[in-house]
Amino acid sequence: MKDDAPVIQVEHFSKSYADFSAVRDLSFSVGTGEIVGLVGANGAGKTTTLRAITGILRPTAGTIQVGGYDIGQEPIAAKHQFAYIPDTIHPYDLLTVTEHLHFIALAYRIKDAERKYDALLDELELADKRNEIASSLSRGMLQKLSLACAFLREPRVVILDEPLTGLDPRGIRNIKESIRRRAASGTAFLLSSHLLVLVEALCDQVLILHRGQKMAFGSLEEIRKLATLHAEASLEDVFFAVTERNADSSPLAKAS
Amino acid sequence: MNGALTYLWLALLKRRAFYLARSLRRPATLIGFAALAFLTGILFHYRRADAYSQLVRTESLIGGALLMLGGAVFKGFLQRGLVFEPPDIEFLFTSPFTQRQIIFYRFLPNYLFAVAQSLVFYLLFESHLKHPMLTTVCLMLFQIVCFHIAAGAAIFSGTLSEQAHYRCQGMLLCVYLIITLLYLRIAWDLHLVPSFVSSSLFQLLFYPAANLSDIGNAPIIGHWALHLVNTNPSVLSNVWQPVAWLIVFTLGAAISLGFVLRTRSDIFETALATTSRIAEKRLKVRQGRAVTAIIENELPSRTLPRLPLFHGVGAIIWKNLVIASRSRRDIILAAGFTLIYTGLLIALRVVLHRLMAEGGQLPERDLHDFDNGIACMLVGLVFFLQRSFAFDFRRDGQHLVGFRTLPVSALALAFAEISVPTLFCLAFQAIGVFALMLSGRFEWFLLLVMLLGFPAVALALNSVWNLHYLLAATKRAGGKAESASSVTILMVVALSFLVFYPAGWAAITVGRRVPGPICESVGFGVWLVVQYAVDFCLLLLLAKLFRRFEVSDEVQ
Repeated sequence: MKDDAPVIQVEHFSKSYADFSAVRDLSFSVGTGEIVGLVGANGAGKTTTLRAITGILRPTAGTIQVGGYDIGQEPIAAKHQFAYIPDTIHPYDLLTVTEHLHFIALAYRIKDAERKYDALLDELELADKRNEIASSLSRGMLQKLSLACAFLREPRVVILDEPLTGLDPRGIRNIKESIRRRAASGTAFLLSSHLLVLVEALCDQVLILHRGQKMAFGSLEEIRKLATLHAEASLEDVFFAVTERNADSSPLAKAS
Repeated sequence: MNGALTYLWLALLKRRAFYLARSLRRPATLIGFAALAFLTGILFHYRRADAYSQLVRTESLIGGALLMLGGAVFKGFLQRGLVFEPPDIEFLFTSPFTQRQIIFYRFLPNYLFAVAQSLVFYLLFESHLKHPMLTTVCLMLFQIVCFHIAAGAAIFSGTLSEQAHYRCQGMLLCVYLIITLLYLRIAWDLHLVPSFVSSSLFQLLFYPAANLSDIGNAPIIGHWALHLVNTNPSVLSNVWQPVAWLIVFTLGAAISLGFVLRTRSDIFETALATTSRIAEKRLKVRQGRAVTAIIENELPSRTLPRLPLFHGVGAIIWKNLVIASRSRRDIILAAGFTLIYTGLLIALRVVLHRLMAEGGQLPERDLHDFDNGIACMLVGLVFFLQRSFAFDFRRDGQHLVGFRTLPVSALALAFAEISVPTLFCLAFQAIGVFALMLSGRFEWFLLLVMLLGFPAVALALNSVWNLHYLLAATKRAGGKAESASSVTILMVVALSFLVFYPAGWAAITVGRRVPGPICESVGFGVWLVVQYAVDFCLLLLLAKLFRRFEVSDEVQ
């Protein structure tokens, strides 16, 4: 593990499909314990970016490092550094909640994993579902299960694609608290969401993508200043100001 | 036939043909199509071989007809309603078409299939038939009759209550079993029913019902069956008899169609239920989910395994073993199939050994070849079993995104994915070998061949099918949620035969050049080396494909 490096370092990342350019020249970094929100309209390149960081997509150009390891050159070392929760959860129909945790413990060679189960399942309100098979769980419960699998491996960074979809109000509050607590103890989070209120409440930094291009990256205050908005402007105001003012897709001066 | 329905069918047919042709641009489809063309070419090239004439013997044709007929009745009966495409429910059922028109529309793809199949039959067997054109037309008409019977059975079974349907299933199975046993006894002299069943004491149990022995010994049935089986093809050379056959089959097709079209039951309600059920099942298969529902929501979780084998990439093997232990229905079905399959082989071996014990002389070489044939047929078991054990990329296709983030190499992951179904195939084959050894010993060399050769075959077949599952899964992940067409399946089947061609060719070529008794051992050695090399290449291909997987269409 390379502790001195940023947890995620994306440099000049581009991804194209035939003639279509999904993401163009994207650079940003996520430091230890930071919560970074990735926002953008449908087709902005959020999921493409997240999937490239996790090694599912290969960049057309640029480099991506996770925990100091290049995802293209040292994929296995890099994959030990993060946990990824996609937007659509597909559990193993025939495995129980506990067996999903067993699987992660085995796959990532986690020592004494079983000792962590109780606390994790209590935290995510899954304790009474531990022996239920995944096919009987609701959408929200599946979301919690995948979070449990992610938190079990204690990664340096958790990458979440639409993390709160399908959760009830209590579930949303619990997850937000879990994310904050873990961030305070040094775990970084990179999350993509359409829920701008959530991103505003949770994230230290915001990365706004528009048609595959970075429009702004920095804290909300920094972006407000760049967008010349008043101090009380919400992320929603900032988002529309940034994306609509820049209909020609020319990015704002970078905050960082 | 309604003009709109004809237009719809032709338009859909044209579009499907177009998409099939366009899909040939993709390397995977092209390889599959080339494999299919190559296999058909090989079959066509050797069409004058003696083995083909065995397939069109009267006994074989009657056996095939029995299979088709039984399959049609059971398939239709178990469906409980006609199956349509889901859009048909929305567009056809609510449109002003008569029930007859819709049923006939439903038959059109079946007729096309019958024509295509008969054409292939004609091309392959033409040189072995006295009246090739007549036989081909009769086959086509018989196939059509089977489709009508299947539809009739589906409509009829849809009107039955749950209980009556269940009872009829059992009765049908018994009747079909009796007909099969009778056929095997008369056509092939295979006495599968133990002799004690025909003893007077045993028959008392069935009194006053008719039993197997009664049916088998009934003079009228015996005469009819003997006449049918012993019909000399030369008899057909008379002019009137071919015409009579043609008339019989044509009338059969017309009358069966008439019966189905005149049905008074309402097909729509049952068809809706069946179509929805089948559509849901297809969706589950496409998504790699279990087709049968698990009744219990809560199950005792397995303990965390301590074996180092299950750590790292081995976690996938552990997970698949847990899933296998929860898929008892699939395992029981596979065991039942293995039982029937090996039971037939055991029966053949028992018959041979009984004949030899009764004084039948068979040269050593022929006995050796017979056992080799039995071993080859046991290899064939994997072709069927592989489809039963969905503990590989077929089920894990929906987890590709998650798998890509696992800290394991692609090759190790590919191997872990195919290891559980391969192990299951080998375990079931081993049971078959042990059961066969009860009826007589095998030569040590043949045992060695089975020990080393079976894993190579199982690995190859599982790899080929997993290539297909992985490709299908990547398509699904890319948003193209189409189920595999029958043409695609046919291509994979062709590839799963051709994958043994290099090893077979090398073994025969080398074996022919080696003089003396060691030629067989050398040939087998070469086969083994080449086949394992092919298996390794397939695994590498699987790993490469997995590494290259991208979710290209979900651009967000």
